[in-house]
Amino acid sequence: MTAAALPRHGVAAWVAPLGGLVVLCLAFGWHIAVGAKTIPLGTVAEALLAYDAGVFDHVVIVDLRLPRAVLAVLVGASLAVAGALMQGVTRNPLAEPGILGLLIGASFAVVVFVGVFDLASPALIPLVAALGALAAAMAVWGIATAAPGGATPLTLVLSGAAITAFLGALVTVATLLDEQTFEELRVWLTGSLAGRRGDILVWTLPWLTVGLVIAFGVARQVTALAMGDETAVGLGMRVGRLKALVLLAVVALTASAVAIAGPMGFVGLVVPHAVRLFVGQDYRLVVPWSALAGAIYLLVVDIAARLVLAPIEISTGLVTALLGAPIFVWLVRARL
Amino acid sequence: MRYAFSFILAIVASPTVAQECPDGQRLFEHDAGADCIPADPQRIVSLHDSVLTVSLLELGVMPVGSHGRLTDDGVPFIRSAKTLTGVDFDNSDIEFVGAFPVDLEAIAALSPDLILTTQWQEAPLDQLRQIAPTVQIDYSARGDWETYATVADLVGETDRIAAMETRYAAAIDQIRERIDTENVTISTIHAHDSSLFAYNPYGNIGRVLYDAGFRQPQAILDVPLNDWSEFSAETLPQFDGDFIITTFNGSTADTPEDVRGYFETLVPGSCDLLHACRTGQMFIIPREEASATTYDALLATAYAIQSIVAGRTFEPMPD
Repeated sequence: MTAAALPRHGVAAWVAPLGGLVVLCLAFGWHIAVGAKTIPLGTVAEALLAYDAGVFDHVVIVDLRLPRAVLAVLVGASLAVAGALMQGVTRNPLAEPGILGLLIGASFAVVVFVGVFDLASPALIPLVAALGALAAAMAVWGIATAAPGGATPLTLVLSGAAITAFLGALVTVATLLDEQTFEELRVWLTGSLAGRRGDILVWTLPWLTVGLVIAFGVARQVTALAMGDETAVGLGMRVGRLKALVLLAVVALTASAVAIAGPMGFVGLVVPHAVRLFVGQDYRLVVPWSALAGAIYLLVVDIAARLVLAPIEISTGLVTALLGAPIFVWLVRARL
Repeated sequence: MRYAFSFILAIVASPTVAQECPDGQRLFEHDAGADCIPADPQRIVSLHDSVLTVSLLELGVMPVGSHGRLTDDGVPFIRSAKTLTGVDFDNSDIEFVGAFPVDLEAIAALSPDLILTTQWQEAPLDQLRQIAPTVQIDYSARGDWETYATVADLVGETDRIAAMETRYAAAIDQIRERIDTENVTISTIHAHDSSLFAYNPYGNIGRVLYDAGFRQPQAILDVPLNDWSEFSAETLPQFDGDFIITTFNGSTADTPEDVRGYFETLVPGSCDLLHACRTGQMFIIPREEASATTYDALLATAYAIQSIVAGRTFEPMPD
């Protein structure tokens, strides 16, 4: 993919990130200013500066919209960075947590943990999701590697589809066997930011932090790895260790995103590809810009989820799927 | 000419026109066509527990099989039946024929002479008709009580409805005598997952509110009749009133405290923000009585609403 890479020196080198942050702030402000209930901007500002728990409009801004916006930023950034890393390491333009089975792996593990064993400790859900995502990733990799020709982009995608279908069927079986219990997970399984409270961050923020720190730390080496294992080895990199670190980052980011909002597909596909159009293939730029663009993307998508059919809200995950599926098809035609 | 011939052929072949039923049967028009059904059915299988089976039981008809739900332990039960009629799978000869969708082989094994189903059940009509004459009732189009009347007609118990309607009318008269209903706003709203749900009307509560002439929030009246809508938590104040009467689902071990928790999860501090809750005028009653389509449940709901509102000095919601 050719790209008009952003300048790395001079005034433009810091104007672009500053502009990105301004766009993020604008999207964040837009997110908390609009919703099913029309609230004047003056009241929005008043809610933020002089919160009164007895005023419903203030409750809407501070207790409903603000945590949701923060979670949208974190989930969007996590999934976009996870997708970017996966695409770089596997050299697969279609790689992202949803397509390669990590989202359904994490979701399946949470469903079993919460629905079957009736264990709903919020502290353990990110760990359970991480184990599920890791197991799914290993299964997808194992199936693809065993296929004739090895783990090519095509076999990885097909393995991911098989694991997604299989675990999706198990989730459906579980929900059919115990409709009453799984009714509580119904909305979460569609990928939703509605009703999520900020306190979930206590348990997911450590995972998010670990994932993002690793991602930013290995970004330079991922650029070399994206050119091929031989190139990376030639540059003196320990490829096995690097891949393990990337896997840890991807699993941590996916698990925290799933623990917060359930499976939200295609974010990790759409955002990194859009980012590469502007910054090129250097993962020192792709990773931070994916984080920023992922946050902005999910904020805007969530605004659409809340406004398109207002006062009814649709799950944010349904909107990401509606937007992501055509891009997936285009990528299959153009890049696979 | 060809079209005219086809039209005549269609008229001649039309089952609704040409169909004549054997002795002991009658032609019954329902929401999926017209079928010959037994005039006095003896082996009925019902494919909707709370809408059809419970009505049959109140009308004194014991079906041979019924759709049901499963507890967490996998034990089947007929929703609302034990509370309202004292009958369930575990203390009767009614056979469980599956949940959703039902098990066609289990139905066939009972050799029914009539199958009653609804638009909600996914079991294919053509296959059901191969087992026994099948009547489909679209309860969302007919509404709860027309559905009940249809069931009564199917089993020849229409006369019982008149007596039960008389009892219910007397209960409504009592409410009107004791409460200035036109100046009391009662809301019915449900919190679940990340949304609010409003029905118009909501089961027996809704019917009593309409029949007794209570005011209801405009947001509820705006929901299409016999339908429901999901709303963002941000619309919560639109569903406030002098009173809020909502329900807890006893069949899933929910409690009234759980329901208060759902509202609190949906909107932190919601009780302080709703006039009815803040003033102690929010009531949470069992869903079995509030939503099941039986006259016993309807009367119980009418008396519950009367006892909640009548003779009380309450704090009206400010305009």
